[in-house]
Amino acid sequence: MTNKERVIWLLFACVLAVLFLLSSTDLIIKERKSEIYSIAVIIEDSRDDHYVNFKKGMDQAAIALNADVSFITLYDARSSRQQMDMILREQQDGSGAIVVSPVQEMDLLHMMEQNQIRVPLVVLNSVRTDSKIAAAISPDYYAMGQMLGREIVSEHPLVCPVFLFCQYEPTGGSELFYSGVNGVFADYGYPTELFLKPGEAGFDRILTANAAPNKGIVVVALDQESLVETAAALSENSILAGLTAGLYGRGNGINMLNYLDRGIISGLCVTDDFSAGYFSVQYAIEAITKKRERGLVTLDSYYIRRGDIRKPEYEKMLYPIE
Amino acid sequence: MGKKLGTALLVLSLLLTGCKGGTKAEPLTSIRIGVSLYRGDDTFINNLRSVLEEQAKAYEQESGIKVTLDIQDAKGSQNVQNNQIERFISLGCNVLCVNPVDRNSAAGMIDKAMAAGVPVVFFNRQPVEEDMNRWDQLYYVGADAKESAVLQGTILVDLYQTAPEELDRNGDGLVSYVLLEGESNHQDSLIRTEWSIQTLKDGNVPIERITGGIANWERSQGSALAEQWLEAYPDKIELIISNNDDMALGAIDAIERAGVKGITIVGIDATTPGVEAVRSGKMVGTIESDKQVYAGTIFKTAAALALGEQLETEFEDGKYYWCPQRIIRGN
Repeated sequence: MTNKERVIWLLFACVLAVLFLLSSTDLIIKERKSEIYSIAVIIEDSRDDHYVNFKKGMDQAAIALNADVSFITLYDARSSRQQMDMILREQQDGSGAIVVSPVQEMDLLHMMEQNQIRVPLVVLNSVRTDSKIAAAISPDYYAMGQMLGREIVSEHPLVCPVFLFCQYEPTGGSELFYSGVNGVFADYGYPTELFLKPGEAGFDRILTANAAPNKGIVVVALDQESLVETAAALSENSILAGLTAGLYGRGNGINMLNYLDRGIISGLCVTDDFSAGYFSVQYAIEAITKKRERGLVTLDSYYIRRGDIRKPEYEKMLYPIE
Repeated sequence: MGKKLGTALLVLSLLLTGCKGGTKAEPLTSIRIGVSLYRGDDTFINNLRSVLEEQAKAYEQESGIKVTLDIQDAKGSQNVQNNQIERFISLGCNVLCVNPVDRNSAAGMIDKAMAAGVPVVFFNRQPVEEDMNRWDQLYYVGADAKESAVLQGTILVDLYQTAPEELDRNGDGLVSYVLLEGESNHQDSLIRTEWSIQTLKDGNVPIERITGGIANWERSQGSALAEQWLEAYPDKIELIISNNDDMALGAIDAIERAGVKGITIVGIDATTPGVEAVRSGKMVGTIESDKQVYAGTIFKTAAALALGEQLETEFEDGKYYWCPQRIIRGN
């Protein structure tokens, strides 16, 4: 073999090697790596029943924006300590951002003041604009309460007693909602009374002991748990249903919409939970990539009655298709 | 020159091949399980999913091992489910729990799982045997359809033996029945139908089939079919045998709308609304597969596979687990 032939063979081998490196490895041409953003969503409940539409939006955003989202419920509903532990655990496990619906806003703020949270935080159901919060996504609960109060007053023009049901001492969104709705009733002279854990106290005992002859009692559930519980009690007991002039509340879980459709719930304040879910992931990613400084999304609220469920503008929002 | 060329090629090949150093495996402190449901709005599947989530939380608290359950709804589309499986694998799930949309199309999902070395626990809808035998890291957890059907038939046989007039309302010596069947491509539909009727025959219940139809496990479809039959066969139907509770509840809806009385209804699955219907006397009985055991077996198997531990449950032929079942009767 002549030198010339050897050089040709060597060149041939080199060309083959370069071709191999080009086509099958990323030594020469670097493959663009699409980054997957790890996000943890921690809610205040031990079940996800009230987050069905939110999760649909969240899942949609996860696929569209290349995020790996873990949806986490607490071991025990409304345990602030567990929620704080979960936040720290997820941060330690490498979450790039955390979306949280706080059990106690003050506990969360305390954690932030102590600089325990080092990843961007998106807060749900809170309108706080603390500098350490990357984004806040929430309806305006005070305005929502006012809207519901005004609708009830227009539907029940004669002054009647209003019972306000809540599972826990109203805090956060429930507190604002309570202030809004209660303010309207105070303006119009409707007497109101707050009952905590009405299911434990007994709906029959509360309603029969305070029955208002010829008027009926308007019941407003300040939180979703109370609304579902009260609706279930009224659907099973026609005497109780007869004592109430109407049941109202907020939320758009499937069970609530079913009760509205059956006429057990008279009116509901709803928001676009699908969008809330989508925005929560989008804002979390924007915070990770530092594309946005801070975000505040105030979700619109709508008041719907039984006949509104199947109106196209509401149907799309209440039963979103992924 | 030849030696130099050889050396250069050797160095080059070493560069291309690369060398991997061995690393010592550390015990996992967290596991990730991808769960794909054939349809999230199926009541039985939804019940099962709730128990699965509870089991995962309990395990996490007990063991200190973090469990991430990614639960996705395939909405009755095999394509969507295939994409979910790909996504689960790319997100690094340690194990997959799959409730297949189409039991005949599990091969594609198995291929992907095998290529990634991710074990699969199928449940509720059994892939064909040929597919299950392709890999030793495939398992199936379900309820024996024949047993469900025999127990369903037993409810009716017992009722006929103690109070025949409860079934033969018009006293003509024949129990006239209609049948609500699940999906035609689901193995349980065919087996439940066959063995439920066979048990009635074996129990010497004189039966006469009026008609039957496929309602795809759905309450709304069960309701629509029952409504048609109530109009087409007025005062003839004495018994409605349903392959599951949801369709039976649909039939109850239709009966209540039509204001008809005296039709006996029996279901399978013991879903929460199904059991409620039995308690309130709207249904004569249903069959419960213990959901704690059912979901518990799925979860424990998945967790053990993810952690590389010995399986607690004994699987028939190393692959199949049949969940225990029992009758739930009305008063």
